[in-house]
Amino acid sequence: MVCMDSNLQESRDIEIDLLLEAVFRKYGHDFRDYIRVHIKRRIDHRMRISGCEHISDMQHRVLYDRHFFEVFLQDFSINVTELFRDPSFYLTVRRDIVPVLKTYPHIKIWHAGCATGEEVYSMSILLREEGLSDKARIYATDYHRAVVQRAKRGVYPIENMKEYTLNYQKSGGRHSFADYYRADYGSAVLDRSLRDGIIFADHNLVTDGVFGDMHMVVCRNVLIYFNRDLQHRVIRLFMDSLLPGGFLCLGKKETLRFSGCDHLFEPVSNSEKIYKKRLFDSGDRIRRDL
Amino acid sequence: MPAKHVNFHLIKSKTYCSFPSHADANRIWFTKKVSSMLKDHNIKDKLLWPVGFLMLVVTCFLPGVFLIEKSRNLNHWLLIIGILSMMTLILVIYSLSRHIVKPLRNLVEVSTSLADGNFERRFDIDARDEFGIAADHINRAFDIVIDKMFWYEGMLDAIPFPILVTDLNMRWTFINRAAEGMLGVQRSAVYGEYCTGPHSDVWDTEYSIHRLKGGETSYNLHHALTDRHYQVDTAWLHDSKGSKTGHIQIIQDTSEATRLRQKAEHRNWLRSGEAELGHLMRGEAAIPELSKSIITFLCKYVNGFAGAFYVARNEDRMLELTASYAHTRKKGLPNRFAFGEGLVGQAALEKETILITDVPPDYIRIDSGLGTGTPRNIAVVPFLFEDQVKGVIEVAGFHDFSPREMEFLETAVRHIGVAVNTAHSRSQTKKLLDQTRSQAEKLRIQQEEVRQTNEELEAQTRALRASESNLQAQQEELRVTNEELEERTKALEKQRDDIRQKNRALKEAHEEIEHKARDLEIASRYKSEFMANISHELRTPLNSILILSQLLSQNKDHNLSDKQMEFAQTIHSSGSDLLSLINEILDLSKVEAGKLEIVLEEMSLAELTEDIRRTFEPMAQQRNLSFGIDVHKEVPDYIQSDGKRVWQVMKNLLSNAFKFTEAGEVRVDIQRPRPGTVLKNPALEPDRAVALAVSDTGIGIPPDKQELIFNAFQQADGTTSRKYGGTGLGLSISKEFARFLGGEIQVDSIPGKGSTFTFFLPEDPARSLENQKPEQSMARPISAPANTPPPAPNLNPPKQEVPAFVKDDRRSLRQGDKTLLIIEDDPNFCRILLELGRDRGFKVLIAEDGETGLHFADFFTPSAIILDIELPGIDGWSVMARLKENPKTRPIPVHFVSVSDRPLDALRMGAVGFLIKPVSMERMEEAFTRIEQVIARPVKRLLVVEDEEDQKRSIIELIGNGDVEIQAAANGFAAFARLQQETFDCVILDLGLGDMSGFELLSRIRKDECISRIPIIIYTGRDLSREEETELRKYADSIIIKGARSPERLLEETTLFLHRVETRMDPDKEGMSLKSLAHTDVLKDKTIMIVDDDMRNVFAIGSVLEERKARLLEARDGLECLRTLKAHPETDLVIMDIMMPEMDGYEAMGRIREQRPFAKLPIIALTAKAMKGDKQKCIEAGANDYLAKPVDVEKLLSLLRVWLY
Repeated sequence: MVCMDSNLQESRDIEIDLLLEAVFRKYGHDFRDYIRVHIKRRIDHRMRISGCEHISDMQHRVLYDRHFFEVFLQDFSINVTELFRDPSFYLTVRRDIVPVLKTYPHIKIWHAGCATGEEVYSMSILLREEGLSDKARIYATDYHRAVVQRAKRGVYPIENMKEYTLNYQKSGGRHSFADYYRADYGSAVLDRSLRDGIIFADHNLVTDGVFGDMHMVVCRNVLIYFNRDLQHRVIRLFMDSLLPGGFLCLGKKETLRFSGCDHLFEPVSNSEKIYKKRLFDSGDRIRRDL
Repeated sequence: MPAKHVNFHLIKSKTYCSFPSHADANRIWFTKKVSSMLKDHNIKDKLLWPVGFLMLVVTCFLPGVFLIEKSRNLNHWLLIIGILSMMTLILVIYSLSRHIVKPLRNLVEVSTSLADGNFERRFDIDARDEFGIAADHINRAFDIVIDKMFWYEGMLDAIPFPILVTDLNMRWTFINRAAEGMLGVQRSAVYGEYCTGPHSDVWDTEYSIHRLKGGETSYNLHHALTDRHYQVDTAWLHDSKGSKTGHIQIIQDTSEATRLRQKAEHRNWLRSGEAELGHLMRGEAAIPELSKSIITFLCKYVNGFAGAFYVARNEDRMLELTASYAHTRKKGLPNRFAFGEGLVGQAALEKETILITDVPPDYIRIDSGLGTGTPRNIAVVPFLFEDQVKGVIEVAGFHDFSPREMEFLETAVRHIGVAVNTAHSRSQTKKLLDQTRSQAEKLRIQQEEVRQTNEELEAQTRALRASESNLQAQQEELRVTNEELEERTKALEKQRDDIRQKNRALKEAHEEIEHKARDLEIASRYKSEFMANISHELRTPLNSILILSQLLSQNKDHNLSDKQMEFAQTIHSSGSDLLSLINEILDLSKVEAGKLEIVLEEMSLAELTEDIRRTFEPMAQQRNLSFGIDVHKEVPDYIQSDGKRVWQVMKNLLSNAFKFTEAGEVRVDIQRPRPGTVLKNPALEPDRAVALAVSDTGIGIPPDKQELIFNAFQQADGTTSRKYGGTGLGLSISKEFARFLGGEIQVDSIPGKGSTFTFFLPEDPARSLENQKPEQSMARPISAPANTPPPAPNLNPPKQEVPAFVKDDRRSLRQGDKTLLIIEDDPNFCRILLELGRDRGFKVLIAEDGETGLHFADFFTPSAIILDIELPGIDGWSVMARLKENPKTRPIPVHFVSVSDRPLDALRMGAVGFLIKPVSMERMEEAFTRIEQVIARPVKRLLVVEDEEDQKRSIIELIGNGDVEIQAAANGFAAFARLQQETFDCVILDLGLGDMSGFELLSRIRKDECISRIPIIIYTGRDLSREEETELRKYADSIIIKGARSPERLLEETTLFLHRVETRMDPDKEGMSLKSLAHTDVLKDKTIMIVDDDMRNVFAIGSVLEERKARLLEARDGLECLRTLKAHPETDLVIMDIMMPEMDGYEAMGRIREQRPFAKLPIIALTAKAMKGDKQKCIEAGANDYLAKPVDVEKLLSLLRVWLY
């Protein structure tokens, strides 16, 4: 029985490998280095709904049915997000990071894996209140094009607004949160002008490269879906995208500790997982233990 | 009145009219009717006509037959036939008048009387012929007819509803009994009268006939006066020929039926309305659709022309418009009403219907394509559910709403109330369901995330556990190692105790020896000092003696005798001897006092031999001794040595040789040391040494005296001095000189036979001396090479006792050593640092407290200091402060190592680095590397250009430390001048300067070839526009806006620029720029536009292109690119970034391609994206080629060459 199970398991693993390979080869989306159990759960979930009996059936559908692929893609994009999610993070940014950002004439912030954009707008609101909105440019990217479109709209269900307001207040907000949205027909539309400094684009962390020198990279709760290898690659990508002295913000449960890059960063806030790229990176350059 | 004939057909044909009557009253009417039917027809004609016709046929037919058969006698036959015809005719006429006309006349008479109402009369023809039979039959028929007539009349009278018959002239011809009752007249009175009369207001026959003429045979009539309903059936009456003879009206009073029907209809209308409405509302439509269909239906059903549907919102008691019908929305009309607001609100408040009639003309308009109109009535009806107002319906119509319609509305709203309520609850339920569903989905996703997080945590835990088990293993290992160490320690402790005991004994002996040595040293020093003093004291009077005795011996005044002159000469020569003796004593004391100066130079051995020959040849001749000098070929021409001292030694040795030789020879051999020669001085290498041997054939020296002769004031035989003279100092001085020169003197002698003194000299003493023991070098100032800087310090440490815990290198210090001072009270850590320091070639000094540290730092001036903060006595901070106060110790780099956590303070104080304990080996290595780099580097120079004194001072305070020298300039000109005259490693520049703008200064600096590469940090208090930043980026390496956190950044960045090792231009790049020089011609003078919002990128690519003499245009986004392109149509190529604000690269490329002149302009897209399809997307958008970020310059160049070729 055990033997059967493991045999089945092995076959399933092969099927998943093939499916992911197929997706990569056909559409260029690379999920091969995502955490395997997570991938399995998402595939199981889709199988249950779509009525496919085997993963191989799904492979066929994914290859020949563009629409099905879009659904499949949607499954992998876990968009759990809020405006001012983890208010203490924004409080820390406001208190410790913003004063440093103010010393640059202009700043660039990259929100990698922005999902439906809540956190991007949160940052935009924060920057506006800190008087940085004219100096700042935010790049908001996600691999999922449809999600980026949704982020661009900036329309969120009205029932969440109460919670968001509370978040905003806890994050050190200085105004009335209602100043930033207009609610009607069951939705809240964020102030259009918040979008002015934001550039929405699709960008795949797994396959795409560096696109500029950032003063801050925010990538929260994305790395948890990647296996260690991919995490390292992505952190290296952030590392290369950051200016010396730039900040890297990860999710609360994420850490640089095992990434092999931790010596290139120094912690600014351990609890909020904010790191600063060292000015002197290694070897021939001189390191200072600041 | 004409005769009337009864026509049977008529009766028969009229039966369909259904006159079922037998009443007498109808008899007259019937008679009249029949007679009138017959009036127009002459019965005679009808009877005569067939007889005539028969005759005609016979007359015509017969001749015809004959005509055919006998056509030849036509004329005869015609005549006969004519006659026959005439006869027949006469016969017929007679018969007719006899048998037919008479009875016929009777027939007519009877008929006429019948027609006049005399129903009793019958034909009285008793002939037995046909007429008689016919008359009988007719009489019988009359009886039947008349019976029938009365039967019909009775029947008509029995019909309970009125039947009215008129002729074409609208005169009454018949009314039945019910009609009599209705009209209130006797029929006999009205027959033949015109149908209108006093009864016309009861019944308008004319109207009915009028409608009949219009083709209406059946209609309903409501008699307003009596409020009765009638059904009127009318018909034309025809005679047998079909001609109209009159009209008949049958009137049924349908009042009751109509009432019932109307009631039923009303009920049906309401019911079907309700049913339809119910059907409509049966679905699960949401409120908007539901209200739309309801209002549409209602309007249609009650003939409304416009309608509106409002639903009450529970939460704020507002009525909101959810649907409307044919309603043209006017501006300013509200979509919602509060309860009590407007009619809609009022109706809701009262829960009562409001009906408005005579609506003002501008109140509402109903538009169609054909026109507009204002409805007259508006009904506002609220609908309730459980006595709660759920909404309001408003319907407008052009007509007055009938009670029925109003009733329907009232009924309908009851159902609507329920339906809306249901819909409402349904939508509520649906919303809740959706919410639940979305929450469930969200929950699921969150669960997913949580699960993910958990797994991540688990993975981390596993990793931790792995490292924990690793740690355990290490601990185990450590434990074992510890145990082993403990064992060893025990053994060592025992050894230590032994050693300590021995040490104590040794120390005592040592102390004794030291005591004696000190006594000796003091005595020796006293002696040396005494000698030095006495020689000086002696020389002063001797000077006078020598000069005066010489003057005397010259006898210039010629007043001295020869004897006196000889005395004077003797005085002079004795004085000279005395002087040389004094000089020798002096030399010796100098040697012993360590004050001898030796000058190394290129010394020619040929010159030496020449000097020897010149000096001693005359002496040899004088003494009759043979004298020879032999220089061997293998000896170099020149050696490094002090010629004066070598000459002194040689002179000494030769003087001795001549002195002790009576006969024979004296010779000098200059050669390499013979093989087998044992050299005591280890600095001497036989193949790099020269042996100067002086041999004589003199008295020789016995072996036991051979050592003695080198001691001062000693000769082989104390008595010899008398005989041979001499101070006895010569050899001891020579020996000392030889030693100073890195060589030695050996003696080889046989008494009576002669002696050989060999003077060994190194070819290059500096080289040899390096190999010598340190103790020896201490006393040898000659050891340093020619370019040695300051004189060697006195390396005797101020404190004699070695710290108990770690033995350091203070005793083996040599001048020029790299020294490291460790101020640290933890002996174990000290030991580690000591080892690390030694590994890296440092001589390490250790001070276990701050005071000692400061003392050592001042005394030894070490190359670097590692400083702990927690120290017994004064702490590290104070030590640091004191070190920086003292100009001598200020430049020494200090690296902190501490458990304390205040690196920034340390750096502010000028530390070169800060390590936080506990530290890893790697960190320690890094710290040492850092220290080495700081030592290896000359002091950095920083120029601060700032016109405000306070600012300037604070910057200097912030950055200034031992290894940075800060200069300040208050304005642009001063700064520029200083930059041109002096060398700086970095510039901090404030943009606001008195005399010229920061921009101007920057551009001047960058234009100046010599200083253009200096790193510049802009430190400014003003906000910069993007344009300004772009401009500044071209010149400045870093821009810092003043603010709360700016000092920190300034310090960091300045440190970065001051200390970075690599050159500004990396070697690859330089190599490349040389390599690709050959390709410049393709790029040269080409106009290339870079479109990118990342200025660093623009700058990087720009500088590569500018090096190749391309003309550059820049744009920061798509829009700017288009504008620039318009202004510069000569552009040869565009490098386009994709991800840009305002207008991205895809769109920009599309726009460029739309313009005809640029359809072929080469565009190279730059993108960070590497996804499948991204390249394709670029190409589709109009790019010619594609380059991934970060840009590989080599690849970019080859692309440019391809597309510009």
